[in-house]
Amino acid sequence: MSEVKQQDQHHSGDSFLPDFCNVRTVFLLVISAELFAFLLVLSHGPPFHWDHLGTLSLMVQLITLSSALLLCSTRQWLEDRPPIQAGLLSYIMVLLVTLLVSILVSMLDNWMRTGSVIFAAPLAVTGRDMTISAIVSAALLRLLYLQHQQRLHIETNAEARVQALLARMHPHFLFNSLNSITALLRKQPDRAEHALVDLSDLLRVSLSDSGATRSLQQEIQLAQHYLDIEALRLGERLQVQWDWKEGVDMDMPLPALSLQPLLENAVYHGIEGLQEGGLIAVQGMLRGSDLVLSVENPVPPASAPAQHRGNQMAIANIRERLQLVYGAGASLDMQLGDSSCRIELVIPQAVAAK
Amino acid sequence: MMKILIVDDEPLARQRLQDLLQEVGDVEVCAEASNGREALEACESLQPDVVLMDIRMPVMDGLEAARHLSQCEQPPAVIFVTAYDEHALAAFEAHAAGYLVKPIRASRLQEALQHLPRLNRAQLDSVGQQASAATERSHLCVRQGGRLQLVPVQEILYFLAEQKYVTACLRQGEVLLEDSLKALEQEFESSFVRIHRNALIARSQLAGLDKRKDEQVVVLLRDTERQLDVSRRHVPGLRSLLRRGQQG
Repeated sequence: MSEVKQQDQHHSGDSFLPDFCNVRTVFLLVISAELFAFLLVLSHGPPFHWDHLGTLSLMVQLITLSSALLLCSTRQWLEDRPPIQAGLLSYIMVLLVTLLVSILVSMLDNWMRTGSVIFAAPLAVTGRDMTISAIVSAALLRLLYLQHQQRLHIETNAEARVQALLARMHPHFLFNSLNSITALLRKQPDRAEHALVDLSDLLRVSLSDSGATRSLQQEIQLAQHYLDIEALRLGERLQVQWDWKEGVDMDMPLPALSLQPLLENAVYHGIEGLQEGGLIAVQGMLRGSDLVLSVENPVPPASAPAQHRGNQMAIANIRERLQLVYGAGASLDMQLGDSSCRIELVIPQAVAAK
Repeated sequence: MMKILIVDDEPLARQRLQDLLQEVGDVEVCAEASNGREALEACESLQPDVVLMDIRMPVMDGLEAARHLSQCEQPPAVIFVTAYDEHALAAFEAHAAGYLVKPIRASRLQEALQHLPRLNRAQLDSVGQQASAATERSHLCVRQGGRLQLVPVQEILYFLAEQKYVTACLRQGEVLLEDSLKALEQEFESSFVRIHRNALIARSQLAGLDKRKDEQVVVLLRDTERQLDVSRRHVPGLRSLLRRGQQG
């Protein structure tokens, strides 16, 4: 449901057609149209016919302004359509306007010369007008489209960068940890010291190059540091059970921060929301030659929709990083039940050992 | 002396506030609570002047608790304490209400207590509503015989509008509400569904449809024998809900 809505917004907010109801747009259009008329007369070249410019300006401006008026009044309707359709429809509208204006001007011309209102323009003239209009408006539409694409590209790039930063360290976690450490400083300075060192390790890895690899052993250690910090806040509410099956190679290289975000996810969306807390079960095993890591945790009964979305985002982020390193061989699946969430991460060992 | 209630689900965070308040002086911490629900109960019995409240908490979050508190006759001043919560911050900026960020600076806490943001009821309510606009209440706050009662929405089987009041029916007993059925329908759209001009049922309770002898369609609920009338125009919607339920 919300997805559909978002798409709608996407269309209406992101149309590549400019707002033809806008005074500035219309002004620019008029100027460009006049320059174009000037160009046409100039190309007939010397001598320069001022009277020719007059008629041509009248015609070009008539086409431009009528098209703008038409596009402005159908704006809402066009924006509800997919971009390609909207583009085609506006193209057709401009051509129709050209046809009408061309006929009208021929009639006017005829009337001024002979006094008869009968349409007597040679087909060639209308054909020429149509062809020019078709070429110019196609070029213009293409230009607008490319401009829009470029803007979109810049926007997505910026967003991706922000997402990458967020994936590294959640501010929520950082500030809560700092708060716990502050609370410990006076009465239990040694625990505070320990926590600060753990936090430093986490920060160091988070700030390192996102393409770095670390051994499974190191990843487990980092996850442990993370859990130690969270245990300060959550105390008895946070229980963790580790289970490493035989044959798992602890020296196997992994992309840095493959495991810790899964645990952070389990804490943030699971344990934190439960008054009594719960158990996070972490398991590592071999399936064929692939390493399978799974994290299972209880979730609050009626998780708010907003939480699910955040959850999905963190997961999508890890998935993306894995795909960059391993291609299709790696996978990450999340099963969200009524009372529990299970995430399974599959990493191909053969490729990882390269 | 100022009576203060501390609300946070993390013992260390509560400890930190206790320490800081001792430094500030001239205040008395009358109780600690570990979630919004406990906070409401403590407010009811202890009548604190100030509530220092975390936002993200299990059972009932701080924003919802504030929303319920705003219904009190004399709501305490609420100062939110949060580590990092974009939505909440946006709500506060809109209303210039009191909030502190973790880790808290002693001087900021002192300042906040000196210039108590005694929000009026409407402000408090709208802060709660804005920030939790996407989320529905987890509990309904009811006054019965002058006593505050918190009803978890998950335990409600159905809402029934009868004459002047709306009743929420639970597995055991029922409570009278002041909310209108329409407002309830909008707020709990994700968990309740309309079956009649006068009734909403919990989606999870929907067990089946039946027809009485007089051709009136009734809905069967999981946890109660009682059968509720279904308006004719709601029958197709319920049928498709049932079908989807079976597939899932």
